[in-house]
Amino acid sequence: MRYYAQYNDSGKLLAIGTGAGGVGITEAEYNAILADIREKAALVDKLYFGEITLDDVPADWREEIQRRVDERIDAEGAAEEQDISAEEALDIILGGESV
Amino acid sequence: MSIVTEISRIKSAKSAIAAAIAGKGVTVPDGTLLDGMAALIDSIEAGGSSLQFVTGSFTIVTEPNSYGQYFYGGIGTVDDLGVTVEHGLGIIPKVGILVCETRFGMKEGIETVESALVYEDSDSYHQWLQPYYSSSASRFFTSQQPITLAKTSLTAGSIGCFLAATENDIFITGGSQNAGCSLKEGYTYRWLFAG
Repeated sequence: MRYYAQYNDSGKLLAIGTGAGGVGITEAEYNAILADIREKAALVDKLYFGEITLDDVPADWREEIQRRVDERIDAEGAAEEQDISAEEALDIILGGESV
Repeated sequence: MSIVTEISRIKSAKSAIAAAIAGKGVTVPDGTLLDGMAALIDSIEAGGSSLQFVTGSFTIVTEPNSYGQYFYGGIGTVDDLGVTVEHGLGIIPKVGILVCETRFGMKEGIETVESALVYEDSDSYHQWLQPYYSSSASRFFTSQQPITLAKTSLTAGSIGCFLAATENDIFITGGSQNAGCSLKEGYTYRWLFAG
């Protein structure tokens, strides 16, 4: 499988992917970038739900993570205003998740 | 008609038959005699031309600017409106599927197909699903505007992705006038194009 990174004209990394196109990168490079992306997404999630505070986020990521949380609040509303799915409700009822 | 003329005619016909068979994707080995052509014809795949499929994926690192906000609101820049995927089919794809497989803010261990975008290169209705934003329900709507892969269109208030296709690549951008880009930071999208 071929892995690539796509940059804009200013050299900013826009996306990574599999298949043709972009600038070829190694699988290890792809996985490293993907791991960062997923770690940031997890931090956004946790900060959004109040499971962590901004102090728990690595300093050089704080501005980005807070921005993304703010965007999510704009898009979805604050976490405490969210409905939960039937699956999440059942999970809570059956003791799979603490509240 | 002389024997020489007849032989010449038959030779020409054999060459034409071999070329026609090769044109259908079946290799004609050198030295194949006329009585070997029937077996090669039998091996031609039935049912007309077959589709070639290409698949790939991309994960957004930097969220593109919203297509709609840029063109209608002057927000953002044209430089960062989307991502380009190379399908390499050599023709504009006839059909494509774009699937957003990552929930907004992934929960560890959970990755589900949340939305899909299906295109057909014909004047037909198409459907697309918005990226999954909340845990309550996916939003779904049907557009009744005919669309082709080479055409982009906007529906006010909608959120979706728009494709501009060439013979070798597709530029995917997203976002309406009223919302941010639907190619979300951290999302993974899987695509399939066929033609």
